[in-house]
Amino acid sequence: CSRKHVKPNFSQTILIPNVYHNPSHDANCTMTKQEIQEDFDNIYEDFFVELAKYGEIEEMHVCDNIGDHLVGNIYARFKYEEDAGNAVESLNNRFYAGRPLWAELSPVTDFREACCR
Amino acid sequence: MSPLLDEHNILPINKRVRKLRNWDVPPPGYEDKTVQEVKALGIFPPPGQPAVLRSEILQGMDPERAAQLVHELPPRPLR
Repeated sequence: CSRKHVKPNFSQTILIPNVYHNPSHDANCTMTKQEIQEDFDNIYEDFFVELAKYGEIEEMHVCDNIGDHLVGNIYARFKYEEDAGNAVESLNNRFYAGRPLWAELSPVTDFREACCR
Repeated sequence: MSPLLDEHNILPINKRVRKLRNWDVPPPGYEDKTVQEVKALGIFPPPGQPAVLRSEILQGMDPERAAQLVHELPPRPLR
């Protein structure tokens, strides 16, 4: 988001922006709807299983948006703030699919209320 | 008890076999660099910031390729 949001020092929720790119947004995409769903499910699984190594995850979302900024954000809420903090520190030193990850703590706790204001 | 909660049939998450192998895959051509070194190059900027093409990239890499890398989709995994 281009607004200045306050980044928390402690949170159960982490944000990893710009991870999922829906292949159908590419004009040359030839994948079927089913293949696109499988691709999404595979990425969801790949993140959930890996992030679970840092601690118990209560909820995880992979955004499929088409905004020109912050596309494909992944949000994961851990049971414990400590696990979320360790995850952010570690993830910022890892590559995923040929890109370095940028991770941060997010103030979002209730995803139904997660709206920019 | 719900059949979904049959604890003899639950696969622990760390034993689950994934279809993708995307973790810890560095950008092609940057296999010998650390994550922090690659971030410092500026071709994969923090989200919301434009890519900064620094001299280091131009020395080691075709600039067209560097610019392209920023926009292209992440590599599709081997299935």
